[in-house]
Amino acid sequence: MSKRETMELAIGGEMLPMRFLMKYSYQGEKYAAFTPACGADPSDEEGVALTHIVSAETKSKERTRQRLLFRLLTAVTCILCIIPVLCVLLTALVFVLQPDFWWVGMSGMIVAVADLIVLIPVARALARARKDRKEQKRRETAYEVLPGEGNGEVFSEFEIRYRIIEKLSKNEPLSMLEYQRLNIWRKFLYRSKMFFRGIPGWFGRKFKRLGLRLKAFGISIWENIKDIGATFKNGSWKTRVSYFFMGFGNLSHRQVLRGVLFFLFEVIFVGFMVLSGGHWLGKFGTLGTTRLEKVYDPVLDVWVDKHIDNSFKILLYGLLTIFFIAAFVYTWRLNVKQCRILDEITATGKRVKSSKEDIQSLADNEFHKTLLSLPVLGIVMFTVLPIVFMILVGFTSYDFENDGYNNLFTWCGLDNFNRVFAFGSKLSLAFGEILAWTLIWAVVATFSNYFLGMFVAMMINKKGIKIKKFWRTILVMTIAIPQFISLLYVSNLFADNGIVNATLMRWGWIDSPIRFWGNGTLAKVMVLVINIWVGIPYLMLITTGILMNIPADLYESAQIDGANAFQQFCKITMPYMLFVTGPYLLTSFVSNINNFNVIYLLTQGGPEHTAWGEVGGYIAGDTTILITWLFGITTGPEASYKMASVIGTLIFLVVSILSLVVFTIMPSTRREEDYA
Amino acid sequence: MKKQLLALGMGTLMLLPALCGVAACGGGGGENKDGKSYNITVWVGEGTDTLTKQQIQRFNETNEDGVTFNANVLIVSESKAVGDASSKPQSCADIFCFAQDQLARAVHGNLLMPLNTGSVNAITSSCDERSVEGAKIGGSIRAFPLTYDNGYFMYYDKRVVKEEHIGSLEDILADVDAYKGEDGLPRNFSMNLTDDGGSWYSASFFYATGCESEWTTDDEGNFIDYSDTFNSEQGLIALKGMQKLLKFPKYNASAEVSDFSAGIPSAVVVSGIWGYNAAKTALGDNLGIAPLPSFWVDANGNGQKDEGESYQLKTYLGSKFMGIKPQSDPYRAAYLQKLAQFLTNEQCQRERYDAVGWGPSNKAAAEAATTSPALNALNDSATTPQGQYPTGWWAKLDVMVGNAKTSTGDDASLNALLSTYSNALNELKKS
Repeated sequence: MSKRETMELAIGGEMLPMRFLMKYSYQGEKYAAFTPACGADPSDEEGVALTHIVSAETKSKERTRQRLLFRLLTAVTCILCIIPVLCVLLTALVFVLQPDFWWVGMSGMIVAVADLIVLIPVARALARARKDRKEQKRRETAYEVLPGEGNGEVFSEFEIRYRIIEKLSKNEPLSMLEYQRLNIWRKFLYRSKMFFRGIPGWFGRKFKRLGLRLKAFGISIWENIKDIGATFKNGSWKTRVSYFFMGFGNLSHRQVLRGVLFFLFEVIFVGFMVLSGGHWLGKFGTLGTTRLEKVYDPVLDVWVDKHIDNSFKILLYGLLTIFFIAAFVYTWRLNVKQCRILDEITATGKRVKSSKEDIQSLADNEFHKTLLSLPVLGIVMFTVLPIVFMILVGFTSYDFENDGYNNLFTWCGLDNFNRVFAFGSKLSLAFGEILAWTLIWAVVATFSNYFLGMFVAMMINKKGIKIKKFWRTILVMTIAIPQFISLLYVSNLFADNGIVNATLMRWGWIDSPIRFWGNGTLAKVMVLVINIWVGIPYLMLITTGILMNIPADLYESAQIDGANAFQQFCKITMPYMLFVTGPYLLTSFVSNINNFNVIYLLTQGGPEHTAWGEVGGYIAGDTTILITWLFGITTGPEASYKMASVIGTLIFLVVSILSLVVFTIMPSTRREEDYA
Repeated sequence: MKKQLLALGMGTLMLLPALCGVAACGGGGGENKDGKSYNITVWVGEGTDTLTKQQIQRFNETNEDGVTFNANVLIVSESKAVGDASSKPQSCADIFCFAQDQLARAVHGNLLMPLNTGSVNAITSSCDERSVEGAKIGGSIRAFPLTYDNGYFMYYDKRVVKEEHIGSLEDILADVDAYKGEDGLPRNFSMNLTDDGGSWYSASFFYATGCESEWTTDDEGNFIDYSDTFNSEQGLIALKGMQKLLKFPKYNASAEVSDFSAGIPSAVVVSGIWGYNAAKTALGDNLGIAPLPSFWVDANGNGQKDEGESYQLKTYLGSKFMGIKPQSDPYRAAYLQKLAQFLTNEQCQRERYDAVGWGPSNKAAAEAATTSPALNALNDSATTPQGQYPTGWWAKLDVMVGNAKTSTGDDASLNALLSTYSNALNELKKS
């Protein structure tokens, strides 16, 4: 018997790390010892608790019969469980959509009740069969803890189980060995419980780390200030001049390139501040005070506008100036630091780097700076700056009335955020419900596409499926047609007076149109289902490639070990897929939170949820997600950019927190070596 | 010594651009005041872009000042123009067309240049008094009346709705309900009461019962006062009448004449002049056009025809305007006013009537415009002059009607909706 078989037998077919097990042969029988649990010395055969291994060859006909009975009962129970769910769904749909057909709904309910009556004895039989099977399995594979004579602590099976139950009831963590003894549901419950119990601690650690980082940041600033003071006090006169004329220290040490660059930067900065930066920064606190003037031209008999302040420009350029000042302060500090280093080098009599060497190092050991400088600048200009600008708009009164050009807007503190979070207000109610639906939408849309796309890909890739290219082509057709066209078409298809309703009425199936887009719940289901139709082909294409890359020998090994198709999927396909497509899942989730196209083109966010009232002249609807709400508010009659900014900021927070958390815990980033 | 000189030189260099900047600030910039050729952008309604280009070309050739406009004419819906202009006030069109209900908003947002004496005189002397009155905010005319046809009436399918029934909503609904076409499909009644923009149509029920909502603006387009009687017995009757349509199984919340060709076609569509050509194409000789019908409500709120009292639905009737964006160059401003005067003169309005059927606001052109059945139906309609309302007012009316659709319909629930609406109005007034 191999070591692996011994392990499996010893723990009822579940794998355990080898460190827990030792295999022994004693008087011609095979034994395994749980050395850590028992605390015994594995080298001392007399002192360890030995576990009797029953041979795998003791399978009997009774076992086969029990297995078949168990599977049959499982299948019947599953079917009996699904039937009432379907009946209840059917009943609900009938009562919501076609109350006239109440008798269909009632029939569904009767079937559901009858089904439940049948289900009870079948479920009992299943439980019995399961118990018998487990008992049989245990008898075949269980070990008995034999009384040892050594000093090690020895536990019987009963004692071990008792300890586990006791630990669970006291919410104490289990050891790896104890965890492995739990059944699949208990494992799931235990993991879930441990996950939720761990959340406060996780946040606590994060906050603590944040606090430490802030503290370190503060200390670093203080250290820098001290260093600047000390450098001025102890540095050479050239270093002191560099405090006012950046790059002077470098130039005087014949580092011409660095010196010129530092100096040029200072010249540009001063020029910018005098020419425009100072102007924008001076007005940044008020966002402008002088509105436009209307001037009458008596000769031509016309009024012309003379614009003085522009709040929008002040906000934008003021922010740009602040960024520029921050960049200047950083560069100035760098200049001072370099001067100090140059002083230190010259004091030791060493040679300083020449400009030529500087350029060479940019192509060699400093090459990362050469490569990253432009992208970093681009990210700051085109990502960070707009995000900060967008967030700042939420603290102003920027809307249609105060557009910043004709009528100035100004800072208004947290007023806009207060409107969203005012407890009990219609706006906060609407925000809560829209946020909840946005998250539901994002989760369901992401995972339904993911699993169904994977399922379709597996079906098409399955051996024996003919004309695979044809099936793939059909699915890819939905990608070939621009999404906004297909979505608008489908939207019209399911309209109250659309072709679907017309056809159903013509066939006599319905008397009045089904309000696919007029009923909030139905509209939500529709957008989810249509999103599946639109999204599956993409997932099918992505997963086809990945599925083909999973090594076939993994499946062969699993088959030899007796794993069925479902086990192979759970233990090989899914982990592999999740590992490879983890980042895709995350980006897909984030893009679904901001999935404007599907929602807006299908329903425009409707049907209108009038109980929420209107925000900025726009009435949100049942299928409105945060991004379509933002769009509606911005383009609505009152063009409330300030409220749109608040919602945008909240979307940003939700997305960034979720992204960071998921990205941190996903296996692709934690266990890169697993599939290397 | 060399290094001290270097430091001095650097200091001077550093201050050089700053000094230059100060000098430049003092100098200021100049604008090209040539005034003879201007690049402009013009936003017009659907179907009139080509005609407008031709008219501008004609202006270029005939104007006595010798000014030339190189116009980029774009189609922007009149209902969206002010919103679009407000989102980009600096780069919006120099001349744009918009619906009357947005005039106060446009003035308040400083999107309209004040008109000079010549323009005001031209407007008052040539245009219909009602459209001139509609162009005023705070007593001053603020835009050029382009049409006087902004209202709605009923397009219907003569095969479904009998001609003798078109005066009564109950009869029309009965006709629509009873009809089953050869295609095996029923027919719908399309009137947008609950969808986006539905309040413009739903207001007709309130005006039918004698309700009023009048808002007063100051010179800057701020709403400083209002008088609203929707929250009243008459308002309750209006909601009850509206519920007949909202609860009608074949009601469709739409104002699109394309509904005549939908999967389940409509037999009646309440829409405006702009839908005439499409309706004619869809129904041909079966197209009927009529003013809005009346509805009946009795003491129980469930009046059938000839029970209780009859109320005639009233459409808004107003103008579309042409406005000019405020300018900083007086010459450009003066020439743009001349161009706008030209584009709204009698000849241009006649051409627009001939091309797309828009009802002229110019008196002389209107007298000659008698051949359009759609315009005639509108002229025969019971009307309410289009007033100015805060943007939020439309949304609040939308909310009330949307809630009325899902309410139980009893007096208490409808009164609660009216009361909520009424209480919310005060926040729209500028204090």
